Amino acid sequence: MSGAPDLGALARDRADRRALARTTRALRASGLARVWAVRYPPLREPEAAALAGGHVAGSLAALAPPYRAAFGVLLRLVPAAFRLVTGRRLEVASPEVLAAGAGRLERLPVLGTVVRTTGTLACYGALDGVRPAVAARAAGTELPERAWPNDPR
Amino acid sequence: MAERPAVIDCDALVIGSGAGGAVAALELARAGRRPIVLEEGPEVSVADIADASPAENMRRLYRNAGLSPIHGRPTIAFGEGRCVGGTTVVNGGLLWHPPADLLDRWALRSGVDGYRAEDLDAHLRDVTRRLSVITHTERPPANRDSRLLAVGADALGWRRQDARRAVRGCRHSNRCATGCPTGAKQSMALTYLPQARRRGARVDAGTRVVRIAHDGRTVTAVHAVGPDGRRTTYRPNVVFLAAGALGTPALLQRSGIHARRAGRHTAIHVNLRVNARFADPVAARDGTIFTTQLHEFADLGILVMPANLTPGTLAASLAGHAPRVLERLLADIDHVGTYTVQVRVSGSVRVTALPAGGLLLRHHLRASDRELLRFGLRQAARVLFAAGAVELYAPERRVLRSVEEAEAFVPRADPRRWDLVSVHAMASCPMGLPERGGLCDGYGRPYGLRGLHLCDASVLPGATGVSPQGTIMAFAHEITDRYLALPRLP
Ligand SMILES: Cc1cc2nc3c(=O)[nH]c(=O)nc-3n(C[C@H](O)[C@H](O)[C@H](O)COP(=O)(O)OP(=O)(O)OC[C@H]3O[C@@H](n4cnc5c(N)ncnc54)[C@H](O)[C@@H]3O)c2cc1C
Ligand code: SF4
Repeated sequence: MSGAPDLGALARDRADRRALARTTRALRASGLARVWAVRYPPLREPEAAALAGGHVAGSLAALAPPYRAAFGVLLRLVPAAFRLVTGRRLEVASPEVLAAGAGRLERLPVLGTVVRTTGTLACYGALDGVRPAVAARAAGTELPERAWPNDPR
Repeated sequence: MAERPAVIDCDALVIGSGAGGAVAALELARAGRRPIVLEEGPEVSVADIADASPAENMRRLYRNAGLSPIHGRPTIAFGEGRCVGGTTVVNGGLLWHPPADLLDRWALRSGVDGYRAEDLDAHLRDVTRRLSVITHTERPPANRDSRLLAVGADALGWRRQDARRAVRGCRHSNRCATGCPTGAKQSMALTYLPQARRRGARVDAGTRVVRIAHDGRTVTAVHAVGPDGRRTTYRPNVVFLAAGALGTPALLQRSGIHARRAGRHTAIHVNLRVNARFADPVAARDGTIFTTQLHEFADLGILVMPANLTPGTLAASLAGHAPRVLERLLADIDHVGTYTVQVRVSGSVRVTALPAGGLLLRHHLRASDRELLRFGLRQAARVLFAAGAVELYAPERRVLRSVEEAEAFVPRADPRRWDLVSVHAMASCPMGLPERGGLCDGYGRPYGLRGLHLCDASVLPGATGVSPQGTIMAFAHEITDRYLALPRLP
């Protein structure tokens, strides 16, 4: 292997980073992080909120281009839709209004799927986004527990 | 790094490195055919998996980070692997043999023989040996969620079955679905593929096949995009296509091969997740995916089994509930067991390859499927309450506290509002006589085309009802063996 940089890998990394930057911006524009803090108590800590945001943006960035683009557009529509269903601005809404508004948004076709899906992803990312503190033990070398009767060994 | 040539001549090419592709790779390598395996996803080592969080592994080991939507009512999330080893890297490692009566029915219906239990027996023995398949014995105190299911089943006099798994020295670390951090799970990445490599196979990771070129009768080339974004044309003598139940029909559509029929009627199993809270600790995080499965309703295509439980999966499954419910159950996680109700549905999924990349998936679940889902939930409630559950977190944000409450809720419940997932798709390009709806023959050859063999979940004639990896691998062994027994053309 030569010491030259792998240009292909660099290009791929760059494309991945661009996709991630776009989904991160769309997610921020949606204002959904405020909704999560109200709906999902474990996401109130800044560290958990950051993990949640990272997982949602990273998952959306991994989608096939048409889905990624659709999520990007729909996320940016969330604040306007919120205002339509509650009459209030998402950025300054009280926790009660946020909770009620999110419930109404979730019942809308298409946009509701986006709000529900991102909420589910946020919960998962916040709680399972932590790297293991202790290294996993390697698989045991002891004999298998019980071989299947057909096993020819 | 040496630059890859734009055109590569080779003997055998395998597309996809999962359950089907890895079998073809090993068999071809053993026959001295030095196959090249093209895999779209990355190669991820056990150490890499162990160092990362489950969420990170979800994003890099799954296609679409596990978020492929199957549109319809409801939208169903489909999960499949996208890495060297395919879905076997993220699956539960359960390895069942296909039931003999199912294989008989398939033979009668499809008109293709040679895939009955006696024909596949030698292959299944081979798979069992190569993957170190064992029957899990209990290792108390671990796997209490499975033992509770057994208690419930025994109380009702219902049949259950011990899990058969492809694991060596499982540490019961409860992370099967996001990649095994210990190397215990015997995925294709740790078994068939290294063996194939030792016999001369090459695996090109990060290489996506975009089209199979042909002249209407024979495959002429395979076009792929490498990790560097550059296009490479492969000119093989034979191609084994194993891009999975969704990827294979998509590639056929993009290549103009049976484009209208490929992927039209894809069979799936659908999963419903139910969280159960028990009075005594369950400590479900201490254990493997499961050691016992409820088989009482297997003839109807319904199975109930525990699932891996983590704080993230619990929170995600409760995201629709009120904040206090989520908070309370997370605080009480050691009293919770998570159970999957798996249903073989009769409504199918249509796969359409989108011009801009990705797939459009649509399901057509029938009223009878919704009835089966309701039936499955009802039986899960019965067995879990018999096991001592005090609360069930059912769909539609319902918390059920007794069998009576479940009986009252289920008839009014509407699965079109449930959160459903699927991790088993099959039969998108079924083997069978053309007049019986078959797309490929007993050699996995799409009708009318030479030089191409399908050898993954797509060729199964229908839904297995049980976890499909064993059946897929047995079919792939048989397809490759049949090909290797053919006289070689000059
Ligand atoms: C969470 C989960 C748990 C499961 N548990 C079990 C279980 O316990 N037991 C069981 O029997 N089954 C289980 N399954 C299902 C089982 O693993 C799959 O059915 C099986 O692996 C399918 O085999 P396959 O060869 O058809 O496809 P896969 O194993 O999915 O392999 C297909 C490969 O092809 C690659 N590919 C696709 N398109 C292209 C392209 N254009 N170019 C190059 N490469 C491409 C993909 O990236 C993938 O790696 C589970 C699945 C999931 C998601
Ligand atoms: S329980 Fe842990 S060690 Fe066992 S197969 Fe699953 S992830 Fe691997």
